Amino acid sequence: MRYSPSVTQLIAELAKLPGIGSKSAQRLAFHILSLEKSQVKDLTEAIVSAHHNTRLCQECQNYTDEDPCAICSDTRRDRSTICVVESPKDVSTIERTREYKGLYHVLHGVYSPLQNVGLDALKIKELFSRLQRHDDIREIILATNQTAEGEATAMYISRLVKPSGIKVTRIASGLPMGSDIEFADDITLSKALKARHDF
Amino acid sequence: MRVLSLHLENFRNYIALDLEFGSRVNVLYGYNAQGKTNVIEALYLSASVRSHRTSKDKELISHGKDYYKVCIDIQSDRHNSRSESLALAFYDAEKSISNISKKRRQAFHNSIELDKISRYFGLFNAVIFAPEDLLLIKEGPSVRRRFMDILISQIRPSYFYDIQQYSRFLNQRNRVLKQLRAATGKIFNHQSIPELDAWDSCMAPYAARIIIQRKHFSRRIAECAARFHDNISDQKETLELRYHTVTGVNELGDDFKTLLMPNADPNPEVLYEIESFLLSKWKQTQSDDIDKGVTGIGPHRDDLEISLNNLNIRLYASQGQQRSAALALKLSELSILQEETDEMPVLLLDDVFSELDAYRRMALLKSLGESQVFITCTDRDFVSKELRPLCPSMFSDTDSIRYFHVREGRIEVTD
Repeated sequence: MRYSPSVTQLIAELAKLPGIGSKSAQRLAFHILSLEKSQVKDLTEAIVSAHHNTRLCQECQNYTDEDPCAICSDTRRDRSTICVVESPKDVSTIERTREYKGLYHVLHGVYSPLQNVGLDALKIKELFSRLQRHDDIREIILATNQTAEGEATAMYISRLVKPSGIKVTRIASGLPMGSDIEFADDITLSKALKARHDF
Repeated sequence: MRVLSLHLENFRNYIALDLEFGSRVNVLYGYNAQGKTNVIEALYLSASVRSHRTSKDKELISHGKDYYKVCIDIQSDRHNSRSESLALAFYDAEKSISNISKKRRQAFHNSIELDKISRYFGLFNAVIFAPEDLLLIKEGPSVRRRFMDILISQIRPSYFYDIQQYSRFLNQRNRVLKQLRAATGKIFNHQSIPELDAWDSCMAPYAARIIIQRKHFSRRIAECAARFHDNISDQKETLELRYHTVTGVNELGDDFKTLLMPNADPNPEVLYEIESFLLSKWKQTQSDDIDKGVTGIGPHRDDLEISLNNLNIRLYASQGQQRSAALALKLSELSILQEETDEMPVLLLDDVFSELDAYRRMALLKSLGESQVFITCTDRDFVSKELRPLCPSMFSDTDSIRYFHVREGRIEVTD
């Protein structure tokens, strides 16, 4: 694999992106080289302007062009509930359901000492200062992932928030809709059985 | 349960190997260091996802290769059952280029990849008898924890998940302890440390479930082992096993013990009681743990204490007595697996007869029953000369014995 220095450089930069291996990076690089000049300009400008215009919403810490973000400044939303998630993409996933009318808080990661991600690296301080600023918040929904680290992060927040009297809830875990019980793994199934409800 | 065939890729000294087995006795013979045990090891790995010789999967990959793969076809004892295929693969992360999924370990059942290794457990059961069994008696608690863990995982797959989760939480907690230790100038007495409490609360339920399962199964192992040992030692000596947990859960008293008795599916109150007990213990030992940088209390420090005539078997028993105890433990494993799964596990006898006297050989042969057996030995005639006289019924029908000659990593079926 001997490419010219500028192509090699492009491949190297693309390969740094998450989910892109060396082969995908090569494919993307050659695709970019085959584009029209104007298309390349659109792409680079989109990257630069997204990076330049995007900042964190001072309230929910989600990425936004306007501060506060569209969700936080929407007066129709329920301001007494905050849903705590790991990453911005979780916000858009939950928004897609159109079921949730409250606000969000994005942590930008989970507590994982082994990966050297400490509590300071997460937007937890920002969550607490938000709780102090707004006394109309009644409930915190912890929607971190159902992994060991997601559980521990939720547990940490729960223990610190509970004394304040604010209601703390954790999203339920169980069987995916439209799935057969037959194919559920034992752990999910036993959790679903434990969390059964009157019907 | 029967193994119909075995396929190996880049496993130990086999770059590629395909074997078809007989449904009763399979004898692998050949000189030392030719690869007999490697076949046994691959079969054992197919049952327990771990080798009986090493905990490092990398060591199982052939020299210069970047992965290994072990595939078997099996057939259950159940009436009219069809054959199933199982496969395990492991990729060396540093060298691997052929691995697309980027997972280090893959498991397949009937060619479908399983999303969790814990779902692989219980599909195929085997019990191994090997010279390493003696380590169960001679070595430290970790060997006996492993013995319990593998047995329970094969019977209750969710137990393996609990073990995995617990150790993940434990590693995270230990890292926090080290970070706290490094944070100079702080004094931690019994005050609450939120970053530690988060991990404690998360791992307590897993620890409680592990303790309950171990408590239940160690009781059953103890009953079984005592019975087998009576047979082997002609009732002259008493073998006793006791589950010892550093958590001091036994301090919870008789209420706790009776609650545990009836079955292995504990009610939520018992779990809750153990959880809160552990949480208070971890709080008490918090400053100690920070000093040492590791968690001192929990199921990761458990032991299965073994005594012979009320004396610690590790310190006071002879080599022969220890061997009898190890054999009794393994026979219990076989008997419990059989009882729980309603299947006769496949038996792997790796060079084990040479270390046993005629009396103990008899005890082992008697418990083989109708199961499929794999025997390794150096001499082809060992079975007909040494074993047939002890147990004529098992080896009388020469059709039921299949011989494999193992030489320099090649295996031939011989008459």
